[in-house]
Amino acid sequence: MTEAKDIRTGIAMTFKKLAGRNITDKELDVLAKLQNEEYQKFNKNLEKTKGWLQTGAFKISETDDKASIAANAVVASTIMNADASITKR
Amino acid sequence: MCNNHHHSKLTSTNKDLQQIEKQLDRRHFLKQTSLGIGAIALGSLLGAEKAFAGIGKESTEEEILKVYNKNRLGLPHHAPKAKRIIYLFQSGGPSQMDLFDYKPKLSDMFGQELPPSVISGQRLTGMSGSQSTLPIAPSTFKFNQYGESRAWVSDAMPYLSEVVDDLCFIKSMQTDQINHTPAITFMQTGNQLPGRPAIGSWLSYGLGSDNENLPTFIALVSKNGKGQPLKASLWGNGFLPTEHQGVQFRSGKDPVLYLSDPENYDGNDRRDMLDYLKHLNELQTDAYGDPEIQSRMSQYEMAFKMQTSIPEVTDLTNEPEYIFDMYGEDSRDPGTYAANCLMARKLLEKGVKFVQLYHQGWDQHNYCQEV
Repeated sequence: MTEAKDIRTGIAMTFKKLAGRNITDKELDVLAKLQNEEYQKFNKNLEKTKGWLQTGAFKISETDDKASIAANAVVASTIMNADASITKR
Repeated sequence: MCNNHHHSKLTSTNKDLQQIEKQLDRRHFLKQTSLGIGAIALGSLLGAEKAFAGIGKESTEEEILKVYNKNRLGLPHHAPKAKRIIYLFQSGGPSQMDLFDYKPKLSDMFGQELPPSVISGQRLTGMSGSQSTLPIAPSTFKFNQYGESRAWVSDAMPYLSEVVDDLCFIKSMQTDQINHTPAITFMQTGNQLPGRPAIGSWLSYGLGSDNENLPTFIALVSKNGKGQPLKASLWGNGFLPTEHQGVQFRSGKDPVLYLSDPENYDGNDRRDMLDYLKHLNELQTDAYGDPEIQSRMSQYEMAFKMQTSIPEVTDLTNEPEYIFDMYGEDSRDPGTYAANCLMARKLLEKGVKFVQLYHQGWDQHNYCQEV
C-alpha cells in the first residue's frame, strides 16, 4: 500500500490482492476515509502505532513514516476482516 | 401470486437471492404481527409467574415486545423451570454398569456367551469385532443402595453416593452409535454426522442472551486432555447463524483468542475501526443480501464487548476462600476441571445461559479398578 503512487491506488491494490475482486467506488471511499482518520490519529500520538508496528516479519526503519504505515496496517486489517475477503462470492 | 407486491426495495440483483429476500420479508411481517398479538397475552401470563425478568404486570406492550423479541423465535411456549445450564461432559465415560446401573444377573451369567437377544444384529466395535467369543462379564465394583431413594451406586463413586437423593439417574438411554466420534457428535447435535447445531447453539438461537456482553453459549475444555479427541464442531452452530456457536475459553493469559488489541491501540480506536468495517460489510450486504454477513458483524461486536467483559469474569482474585474450598484445591489452577467448574459458576452468575465443560480421559476399557 505504501509503495503505490497514492493512497487510493494503494488501497484498491491491497483490496484486490486480499478479496480477489476490484474494489467498488463506495468501498474505496470508506477505506480512504478510514486511512485518513487513522493517519491523523497516529500522527497526533505516535505511541499508538507501537502495537501495529511491532507485529510482523519486517522491521520498520527510523526514517519510515510510522503514522502512515500504521494507518495502512489498520486498513489492511479491516479489509482482511471484511466479508469480501473471507467469503469469495 | 404477485411476486413484486410489497417488495419494492430488493437489495440484490441476483434472482435467487431476490426470491429469498421476498420470503424473509413475508416471514418478518408474519412474525411481527403474530408475536405482537401473542405477546400481550403472554405478558399477562408471565407477569404472574415472574418467569422472565423485565416483564411485569405494569409492563407496556412495548416493554413486553422488547423482551419478547430478544431472540429469534420469541419466548418459549411455556415458562421454563431451568433458567441456566451447566453441562458437564466427561468424554469417554466409564460404563454405567460400573457406576449406577446395578446388574446382578451378570454375575450369575459370568462366562456365558452373550445371547443373540442382546446382540440382535448390532454392529460390533472395532475392538471387539475380531473376538472369537463374546463372553458376559459382570462389573468388578461392589454396589450398595444409598439415600432415601435407595439408589444403587458402585464404590467407584464414593462421594456421589452421598448425594443420590439430589440426582436424577436416567437408565433408559440407548444408541446405535458405537464409536467415540460419531457417538459424541450424536450426543451433542442429535446426528452422528457433523454439521448440525450443538444443543447450546439451539438454546442460544431459541432463547437469546441474558447478557449482551457475553456469549450465550460457552465451552470450557480442561487443559492437558488426553484420550479420545474433541473437536470444535461439538460446540458448533451447524446451519444456524454463526453467532450461535459456542465460544471456547482457554486457560492461561488469553481466555479467548484474538481479542487483544495491538499495544497502545485502545478500545476507542478499535471502535472506530469496527465502525468502518461495519460500513464496508453493509455495502457487501447491499450487494449480496446474505444474512450471514450481519451474523459475522454481530460476532465482531461481541468480540469487542468481550474485550472488557472477559477479563472481568475470568478474574478470580476477589473470589472468597470458601468458594475455592468448595471446588477443591485444583480450582486455583486455571484450566483444570475444577477451575472450569468454578468458571462456569461465575459465567452463570453473569447471565450466560449455557456453559458446557469438556473433560477428557474418561475412556475406560480395562484395569477399571486402578483407573
